[in-house]
This record gives sequence, C-alpha cells and structure tokens, in this order.
Amino acid sequence: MSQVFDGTSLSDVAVELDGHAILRGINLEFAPGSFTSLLGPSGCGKTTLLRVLAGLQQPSWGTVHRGTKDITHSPPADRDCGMVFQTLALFPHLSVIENVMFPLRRLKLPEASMRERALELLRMMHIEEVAPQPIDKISGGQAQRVAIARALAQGPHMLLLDEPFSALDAELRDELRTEIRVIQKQLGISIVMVTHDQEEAFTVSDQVVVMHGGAVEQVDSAVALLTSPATQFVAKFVGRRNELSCYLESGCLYQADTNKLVARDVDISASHSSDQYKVYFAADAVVSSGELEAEVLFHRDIGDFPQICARCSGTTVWINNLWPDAQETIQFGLDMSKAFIFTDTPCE
Amino acid sequence: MNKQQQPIAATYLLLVLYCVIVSLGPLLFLFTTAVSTADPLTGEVIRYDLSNFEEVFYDSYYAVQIGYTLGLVAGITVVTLGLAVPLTLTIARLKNRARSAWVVMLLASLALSEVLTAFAWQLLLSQSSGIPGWLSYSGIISGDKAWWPSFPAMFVVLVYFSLPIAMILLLPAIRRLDPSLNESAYTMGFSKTSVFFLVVLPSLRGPIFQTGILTFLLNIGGFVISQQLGKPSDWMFAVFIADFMRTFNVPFAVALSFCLLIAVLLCLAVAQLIFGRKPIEAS
Repeated sequence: MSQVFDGTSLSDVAVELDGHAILRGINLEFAPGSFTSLLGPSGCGKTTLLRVLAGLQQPSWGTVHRGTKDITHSPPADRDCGMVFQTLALFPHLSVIENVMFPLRRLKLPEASMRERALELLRMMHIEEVAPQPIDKISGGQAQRVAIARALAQGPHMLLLDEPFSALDAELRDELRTEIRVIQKQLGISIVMVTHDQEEAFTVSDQVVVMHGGAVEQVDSAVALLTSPATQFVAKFVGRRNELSCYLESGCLYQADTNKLVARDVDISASHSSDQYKVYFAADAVVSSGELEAEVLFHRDIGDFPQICARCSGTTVWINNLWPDAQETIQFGLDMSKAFIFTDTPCE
Repeated sequence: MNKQQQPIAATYLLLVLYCVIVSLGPLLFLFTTAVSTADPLTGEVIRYDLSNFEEVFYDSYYAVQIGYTLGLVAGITVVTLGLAVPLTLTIARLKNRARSAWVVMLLASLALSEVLTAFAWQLLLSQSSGIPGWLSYSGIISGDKAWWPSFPAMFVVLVYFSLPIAMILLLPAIRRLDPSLNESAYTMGFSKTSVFFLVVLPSLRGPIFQTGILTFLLNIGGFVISQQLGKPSDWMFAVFIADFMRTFNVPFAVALSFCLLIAVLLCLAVAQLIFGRKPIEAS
C-alpha cells in the first residue's frame, strides 16, 4: 500500500498574469521538516511560486495540496504558513515586541501570554534587548530577526522566506542562514526559501529547486545539481560554468568557430544527437595541454584558486590559472570528466 | 562662522524674514487694528483698548457660533477623511492609466473655485433644473422643493469641496505604503477588514493626521459655500467676520477673527496631543 504524502505538494500549477505565463506546469513536493530553496535568476517565477504556497496568488491551473487536503483556493489565513517578505513588511507603527505579538492577537490570547511568547521568540533570535524599541530604530540584521520571529509566532507548519538575507552584508547573511537552519531543525518545520544566491541555497537546503522561465529545471540536492545537471540551463547556471559552442564529427568534438579539437572519443547517445552542442565546464576542468586558445584579459589572484579571465572565441571564460606569467594568449584543453555536453537549444 | 555654516545661517535668516513679513507683521498689524477704536465721523483712531474683545465676549452668542463652526468643520473633516481614505486606497491600487485619469479628474475639480462649486451645486439642488426636479418628474419623490438652502446641502457641498484636496494629499502616502504589509497580515490570518483597521489606518496615521489638519484649516475660513447653500442659522463664523468687514466695522471683524484663530490653535493643540504622538511600547 502506497504511503500518503503528508507534506505540501503542487500539481501542474501554472500562473498567468496579463496574458504572460509566470509559472508553467510546476510539480513539486515539500516534505514536512525539509528545507527547500527555490533558486533561479531574477524573473524566473520564484516569488510567484512562494506566493502560491502562501495563498497570496491563485494559480490559473493546477492544485495545491497539504496532505490529502486540497488548499488551492484556501485563503492565506487557512494555509498555516508564516512568511518573511523581501521588504520584511514590519509594521512601522508598532514596536519590536508588538510586531511579534501581532499574529497572536487573532488568537485572542491573554496579553501576558502573548508577551511571554513574543519574548521567547525574541530570545531565540537573540534580540530580546530590543523588544521595546520602535521598529525604525533597529538595525537591518535585527529587523530581519524580528521578521523571522514574527513569522514563527503562530507556530506555522511551513515558513516561507522571500530572499530574506539579500539586503544584509556577507558576514551577517552567513550567520543568519546558519541560525535559521538550526531553528528549523529545532522546531521541525518545513522551510521554503527563495534565493538567487547559489551558496546560500547549497549551504542550508535539503533540496534545491532550480527554476528558469517559470518552469522547474531540476529538483535535487546541492551535490547532485553540481555533479549531474539535468538540463543545459542547470549546467550553465549552477556553478557558473563556462560555455563553449561545439560540433561533433567522427566521435570528436570541435569548437564551432575555430574548428579546434575539444575532445576525442566523445560518446553521445542517439537521443542527444544533433549538429550543435554546448560544452559546460568549471574553472577546474581546464588542463594545460590542448588545442583551445584564449586571449588573456586579466588575472584574479584572490583566494585559494587564482584564476584567469580570458576570451575564447568571443566568449568570456574563467579558468584556473595554470599559466601565472601568461599575458597574451594561452592554449588549454578540457578534462571531459568534469565537463557536461548538451544539445544546443536556445537558452535565454 | 566657517564657509559651511554660512548657507545654513542664510537659510535661517530667510526663514525669520519670511515669518516676519508673511505672518508676524500682518498679525501685529491686525492686532493693532483689533484693539483700536475709530471715530465714526472722521475715521481716525481715537483710542487703543480691548473694548472690541470685550464686546465679543459680552454674551455667549459669538462663543456659541465659534463652537458651532469648529464642530461643523471637525465633522466635515471626519466625513471627508472617512471617504477620502478608502477612495484613495482604491485609486492607488488601480492600473497606471486609470489612476492617472483619476488624478487628472481630481486636479480638474481642484481648479474650480469655491464660488463656482457653490453655484453648480445650487443648480444641481434646485427645483427647476436640478436633482429634486428630475426625481419629482420621474415620480421617485413627491413635491418639487429645492434642496437648498439647508444644512445637509451645505454639509455635502463642503465635503465635496474638501474631498479632492484630501485625496490628492493622501495619494502619495498611500502609494508609498508597502503592499506586503497587508499581505503579511493576511498570512497571519487577519481578514481584509481587520487589516484595514489594524495595519493600513495606523500605518497611514501621520498622513491622515496631516490631511485632516489641512482640511480643517481649509474649511474654517470658508464662507462662500456656507452662505450660498446654508440657511442663516447654518452659516459659519467666517460669514459674520465678512459681514462686519462689509459694514466697515473692521476692528470688530478683526477681533472676531482673532478669537477664531485662538480657538483654532487650541483645537490643533488638542488634536496634536490626542492623535499626533507616536505610540511606543515601553515595556
């Protein structure tokens, strides 16, 4: 007997606004207690998807279920979701503690227990000392924590975060995303976070949903996305890989513009056969022996892996610096075990 | 004084000059007029005393009139705000083109003078060519009496006159209001009505208060609509002031306007005390 999924699921969800398809055929499952990141470039529909989950956006097609219950047309009030907006949406006329107490007012709890619950949440977020402060007198990081505390006040089964850390500096962002992961583990709630920061998505998530053009490209763990990209877009977007246009001839892959050999004995299945291919490779896939040529633009010698920014047949590529003294042109090859080949289809 | 401080000092000097020329100077001149008594034959000032103010407070008539006017204007302000806030919220949510059309219409109605507005409404409420005539002709109401002069006619037209001003003043603030404030309250389970009263109104407290003050001040000195559409018993205090001006009892008229000014300042102080302070939790 198959087990009933008791998390939140989207089946064939589409959203159309003013004749434009914002979301197309979304099928996703969010398991209870899981941390999911919606990752993708700006305008790919991440926030709309989050709004569909919150009940703030009605899908044009498809259904939303929590367990077996159809909540497609349920108002936000019946979704049992806490949400942290990109703008935080803290009420400017209320103090910090009043903001956190606000969701509890609907439950008509005694004032003392509401205050106690709010203080408990502020303590959990390490900002108890700012409880009486007006909302416009606290720092950006504190405001972020208040927004998270307020979203958790009702004890929601799902927390939705819309680019919650985008306005913070790198150090604070790192600190907060670690904290939110710890809190998620403590409370056992599921979290769905919208982000365009790959590092953020990969460090905290159980599963990452890569989106592009209103559709889901791949749903997987961070490791799987990096090692087995399912589509051309994921191969390029995840890990910010370099791209080369190639063609296949007699089992060898050649660079399209220069006819230079990229790889020998390439095995491409019949289902992927095409005239044009794209090869995606990270900076560390570059080897010093090979026929490919690139014009050195500049060296970047920060961090553990010094890199070269170069122009290879009109395309900018970032490659590990195996030629510390190179100033003009370099010749290189690719370690094909670290590269991905896809049929060339238009990819905006 | 260093070079950086010079422009700041010049700004303050300009402000002081502006206050003296535009406010304090005329006020002092008016006060001098209010405390003067002129010879009825020659028109020359024969003495300076508080007799005009004593006459204002000789009986309660003028105090009652001032109280009535303040109450009426407060009522107009409340009704105007009551209509302006939801209407402006609706307009602010419209698409660009529709919202622009509304703004143009509001600005166009602002261009109409008080006199023109009063006459237009006199026509609309008249028995021969106005709404009562049409309703009577179509059998919806019986009788063919004009709806003016009357208190309701005066009140409605004063609200009509104030409404576009209030809406134009509120629109930028409402447009700036972050829509995710409402949405976040919806996700917390609050209804649209609760969100309006618990989130929207308190968030707009400052702009609403400022618009209320401006609406109040705009109406307190108005007399054309009051005189054109109200009965003598409905007239506002400014009508009395204008009447005394017309009968050349300028010092008494100025004394009346001073009393009105003081009453208005007291009202504003009370309003500031009640609505103007920012609520801060002090737990």
